[in-house]
Amino acid sequence: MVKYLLTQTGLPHFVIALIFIGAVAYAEISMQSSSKRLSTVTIAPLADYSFEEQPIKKIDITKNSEQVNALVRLFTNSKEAFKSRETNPQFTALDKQAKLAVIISLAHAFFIKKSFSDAVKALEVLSEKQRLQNKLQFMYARSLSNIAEYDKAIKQYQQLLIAQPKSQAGTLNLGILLRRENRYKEAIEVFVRAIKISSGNIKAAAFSGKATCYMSLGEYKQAIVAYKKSIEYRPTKASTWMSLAGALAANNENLREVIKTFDRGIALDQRNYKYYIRKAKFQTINFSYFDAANTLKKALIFSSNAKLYEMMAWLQIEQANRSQANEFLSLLAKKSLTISQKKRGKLLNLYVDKKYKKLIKILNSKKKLTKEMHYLKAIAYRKSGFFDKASEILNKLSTSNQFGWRAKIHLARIDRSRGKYIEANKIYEKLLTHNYNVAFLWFENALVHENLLQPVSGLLKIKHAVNLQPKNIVYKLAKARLLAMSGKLSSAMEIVDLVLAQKKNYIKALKIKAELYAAKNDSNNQIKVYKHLIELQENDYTSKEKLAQAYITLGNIKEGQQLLLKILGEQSHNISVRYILANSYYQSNELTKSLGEVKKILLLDKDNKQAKDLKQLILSKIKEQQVETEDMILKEKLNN
Amino acid sequence: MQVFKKTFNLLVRPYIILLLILLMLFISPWINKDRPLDYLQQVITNLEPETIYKYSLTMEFNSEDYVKVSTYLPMEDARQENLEEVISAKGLEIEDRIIKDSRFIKFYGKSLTQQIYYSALLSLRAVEYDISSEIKIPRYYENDLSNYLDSTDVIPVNHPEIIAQWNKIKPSNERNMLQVLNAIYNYTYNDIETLPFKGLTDSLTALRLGVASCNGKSRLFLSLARLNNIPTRLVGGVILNGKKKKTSHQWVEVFIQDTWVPFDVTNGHFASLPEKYVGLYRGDYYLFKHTPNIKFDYYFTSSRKTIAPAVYRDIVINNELLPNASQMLQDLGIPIKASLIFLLFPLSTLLIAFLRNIVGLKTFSIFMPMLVAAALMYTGFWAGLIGLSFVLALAVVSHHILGKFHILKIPRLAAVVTIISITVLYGIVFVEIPMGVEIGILALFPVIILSFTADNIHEMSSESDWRGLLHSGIGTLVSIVLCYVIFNSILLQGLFSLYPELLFVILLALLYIGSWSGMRVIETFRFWSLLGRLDSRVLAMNDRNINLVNKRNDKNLMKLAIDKLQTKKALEAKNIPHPKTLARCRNHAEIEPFLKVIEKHNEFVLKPNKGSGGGGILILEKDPSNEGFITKSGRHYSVDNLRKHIGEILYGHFAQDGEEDEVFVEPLIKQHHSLAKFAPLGLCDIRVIIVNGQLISAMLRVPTASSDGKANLHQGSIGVAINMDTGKVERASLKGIEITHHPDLNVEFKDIKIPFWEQIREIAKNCYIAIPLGFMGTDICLDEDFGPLVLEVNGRPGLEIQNVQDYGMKVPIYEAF
Repeated sequence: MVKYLLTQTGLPHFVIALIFIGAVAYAEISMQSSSKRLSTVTIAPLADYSFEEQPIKKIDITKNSEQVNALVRLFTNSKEAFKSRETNPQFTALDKQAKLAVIISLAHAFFIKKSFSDAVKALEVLSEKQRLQNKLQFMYARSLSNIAEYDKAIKQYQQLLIAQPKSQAGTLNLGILLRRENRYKEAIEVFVRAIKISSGNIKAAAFSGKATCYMSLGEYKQAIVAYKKSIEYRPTKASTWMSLAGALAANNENLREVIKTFDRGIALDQRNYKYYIRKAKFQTINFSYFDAANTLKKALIFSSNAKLYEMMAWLQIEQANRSQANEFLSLLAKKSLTISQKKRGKLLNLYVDKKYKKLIKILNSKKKLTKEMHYLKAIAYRKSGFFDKASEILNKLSTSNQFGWRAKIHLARIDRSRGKYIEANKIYEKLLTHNYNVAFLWFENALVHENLLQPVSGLLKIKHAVNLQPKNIVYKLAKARLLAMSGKLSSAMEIVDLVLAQKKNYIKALKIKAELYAAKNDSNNQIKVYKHLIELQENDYTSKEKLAQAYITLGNIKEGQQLLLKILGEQSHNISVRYILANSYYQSNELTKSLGEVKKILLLDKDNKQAKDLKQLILSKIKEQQVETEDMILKEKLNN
Repeated sequence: MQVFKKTFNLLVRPYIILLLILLMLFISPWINKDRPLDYLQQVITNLEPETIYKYSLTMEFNSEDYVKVSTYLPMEDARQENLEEVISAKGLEIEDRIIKDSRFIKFYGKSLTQQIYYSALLSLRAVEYDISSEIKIPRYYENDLSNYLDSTDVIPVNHPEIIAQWNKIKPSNERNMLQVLNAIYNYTYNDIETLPFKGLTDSLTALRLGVASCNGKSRLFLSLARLNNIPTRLVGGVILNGKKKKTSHQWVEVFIQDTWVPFDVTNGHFASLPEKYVGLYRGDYYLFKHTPNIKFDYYFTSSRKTIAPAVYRDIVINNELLPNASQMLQDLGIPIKASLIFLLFPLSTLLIAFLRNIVGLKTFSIFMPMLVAAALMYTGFWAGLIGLSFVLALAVVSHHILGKFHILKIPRLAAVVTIISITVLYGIVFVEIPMGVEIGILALFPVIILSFTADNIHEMSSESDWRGLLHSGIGTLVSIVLCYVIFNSILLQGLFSLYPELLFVILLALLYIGSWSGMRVIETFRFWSLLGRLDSRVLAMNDRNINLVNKRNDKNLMKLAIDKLQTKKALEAKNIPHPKTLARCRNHAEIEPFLKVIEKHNEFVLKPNKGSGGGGILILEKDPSNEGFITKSGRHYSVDNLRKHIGEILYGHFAQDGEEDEVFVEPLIKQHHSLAKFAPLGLCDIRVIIVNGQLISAMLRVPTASSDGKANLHQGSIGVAINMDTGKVERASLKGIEITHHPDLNVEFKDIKIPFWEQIREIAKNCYIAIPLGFMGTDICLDEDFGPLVLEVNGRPGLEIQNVQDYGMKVPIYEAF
């Protein structure tokens, strides 16, 4: 029966269903009851330091130990009792030594419990002599610094060092406190002493402290030396490597060296995403956007901090990767918790969506802008063609540490847009001297040379770009153009063919190929390429125009003229096409038609020089022909 | 080759294909993830329910003219998130903007309702800040914080009294942030008494009186803090306590190392804020501003709610190929509740299929419980249940009343729907529905469905099928409750939002249930006495439907068996005896001629062509005292009533396939004398079960008073087991209980041999030849004059014969194949 019920009926299913429902209900109830709604945020002091600790000496209480312990317990639990200890009969009954033992034990207890203010109160009861004698001076100074009584703490450390000049921890901590209080020179002296008397990690910490003081004083070279020494003694401290990298950067040391140092710090603490941020910031300042983005990608493995997304969005903007920038901005919108960050994200969105006018309007309406927002405004101005306004802001920013180089890049671009190629070239060369591993700068510099008709210089520059990013098609095509410019048509053609082998219908490559054929006077192939271009893009009037010209060059004048007429049928305002047609009519001696076209051009643009010149030519030819005709008629008459 | 074939057959089964798709979908995100355990933790975290608050503000005023009302709405920040909000201000324009970290909203114009309503679902977090004792108060700040350091008229900073007070309370280290804040906090919290003053209290007043409300104490805190170069600001908001209230609250925020840290010196929260605090504005503002003399009034309400985070947040957990389904539906404009119901519909259909096919629970209509449960999501469980019960009762009563007037079925259904609609409409007019209560389409729609359910209830009650009514009623209620639990389950909402691929699992389960042929749980009680007997295995409903009816019975033959007139033709062709057809009515146009024909007969049986279970059959004889006819039980049918009944049949009210039907009339069969002692209450018939042409089992069905003269077991007739070989009756049972005597006639079921038994056996076998259904039952009656006559052929015969025989049919049936 049981077997039947279990195998033939729905009972097992029913039971399983009940268990499943029970499990779901249990999971739901337990999930609901364990709601974690409290978040605790620690606000720690900004400075990056770590005080040295001294081991706490165990107190030996041999006499009256029970009473002492009882009183310690009482005073630990009741501050009032401690305050009124002098009226406590048990306390007053003790002898001096025992009382001292109570205070000392109490101080120890408070210190261990991290009730530093209570520890201070207990230790204040003792005289300095007593503290020194009982080796409590360090504890006292340490407790004072823990409750931010820095001046007092400094004094106490100084007292300690008078009594115990060889106290490594005391010396180090004094140095740290002095540095905190911005008393750098004094701190350096103390750190020097600490270095002399200590070894190992304390020595390393002292060197590091000294280096930080030098950084604050702007003496970067000294700071570098000190950090390096610190590393010698403690090569495993990631933060020291990171600080050294900072010092090298501040001292404008070789970029590679700085990056290498950052990498070493990161290697020691790979999961610390803040280190990646520091490296990426440095790379961004030095316009290595591509590398900075790669750095941040690694950080994203360990953290989804909104700051990372914000930085990534900026980097994509700088590299003109709109779609990727959008991705990061949408992640930023989800992750950012602060309103100001959300607002910044929205402004960046406007930039990426090319809503420059709106963005500028919003930025102009703000009373005060950060440097970042000034920079954003400047590049928005540049994108919308307000070069003067953009230049004004960028010039101001060009002296800033964070945006200086980036501002210069945009200034160079403005110069390029304005046709001031020589000025642009100067800026690019300066930029590349600073950081020569940036492909896009080599490329832009090469474009400048292209515009200056300096193919040789251009080729030198573009080669660097291609070497750094060999897969970049745009760079390859630029190289091809420069090669063509310098007469190396075959080499140019090779490159174009390689590009087309990768991307068969790449319009830009096809156009260059057609131009190369034109340069080679290979009209047949030129025609083929233009036909292909027109197939791909029906509305490519430029290619149609060039095709028509190719036909005419090849001698297929009628075909060329037909094509030109077709273009004009769709683009009656196209002066250059009309001119070519007028010229072809002139060449084929169809002067009336030619004149007709010229007149149409002049209707569209009455000052068109080419049309005016052609008109002159046509009229003089007509006159010549008229004269000839008249001569002929006269001759005939005369003959007759 | 065999192995390959077997494997191939296995692989092409729907379950396997679905299972493979499912595995791919489930496994792929795990393969892509670097750390699967972290991913699992993330999954669990994202499924954890979240408690949120519904905050609402109602503003009322009395003015039909142009008005202006402004206030502040909850801002989003690190501890406060706005998930969904509703603003209702009919006739008013709205201006909504951010002013200095506060969200300011202005309503202006001529209001149509003189009420403005705002509600928001807020995710709030309690927060606590652990301020290091080593932080110093900066001497200057990089950012411009002058707004938070400056003196104002109501927050004086360098006033001599403020300075003097500070000198009394200042700590030993005036540069230590924590010490200074502690000193200010302790003074303003402990030493300044709290009294609920109305209106604004400035710092000096609070200081001088030593007593103030929250805004006075907060201002005093600000004065003392700003005196110490600590940027501070006022925050105004509301504390949500689940009750209707009018009072707002003020506390402060202190700027410490780029973080605004909250302090409440009224309720004693140092560098912390509980969950229930909603911040509305930051700064020294008035919460409300309005046009004067408009009798402006307002109140706040709040309630707690648990939600699935995935429903309100676009948490994409998979490999970004599978979106958050709930968010996707919301992006299409489908409201949250409707999208959740949509996602969980398949699970509730699985539940209903499970309850029906595995448990054996009956409901009034198959998926009605699911729709009712969906409606309850809008109305609330108890309010909705009571409301819908009222609607159901009203519908049943309406059916009953309209039935008395013999109104045809379809118009009657439509009338009931109309009655319900009128009632609901007037109910809405007279019963005030509070603002913000949702009554979506899903709440009103089931009201219509219930009209049809009421029809079923009405029929069952007309047939006095109280047991069936109770069974279906309980089943329906259980289904509604369970479906409601599913729709309301936060865990399931989150699971199906994040993992819409689980719908494939449901599909798999449904396919499994659909092909499961085991015995339903409730059937085990029905066939309890037969279970476990190795000699007699019970054929249960699923087994019958899947393995016999679906597999062995040709669909066309099933249609034929339903159609009694076609069945008669088939029987005629094989010379199988059956009652003559006196008249036939195929459509409404033929009713009158049909009536004329039957009026000529003194007694006859009127039958729907595609009826079953005796439904729609009338055994009539002419009423000698009155015009019209009378049934065996004495019910009078006038010609008009008969006409209406015929109309009902033609509309398909009794048809097994629900389609339009025909009516025919047979002569009244005279019970054979051998069974005459059972005749007074109705015609007995013999049900023979034929499987693959073999006779498996037979029983005699004897009507009773409670079966109203009908020979159907479920309507209360007696089943008498017949020995297949001898034709002798062996045992009798009524509603599953063995009996020895007829309860109404006191006749013993003993020593009865069915006459013409061999002939009956032959007729049964010939029925199989005429209509070769693999599994069938044939009902044969014994006419005094004509002997055995086939009444009907049934392609889905009932299983109660097993209880009658006290023998399970499964073994002989399967052996017959």
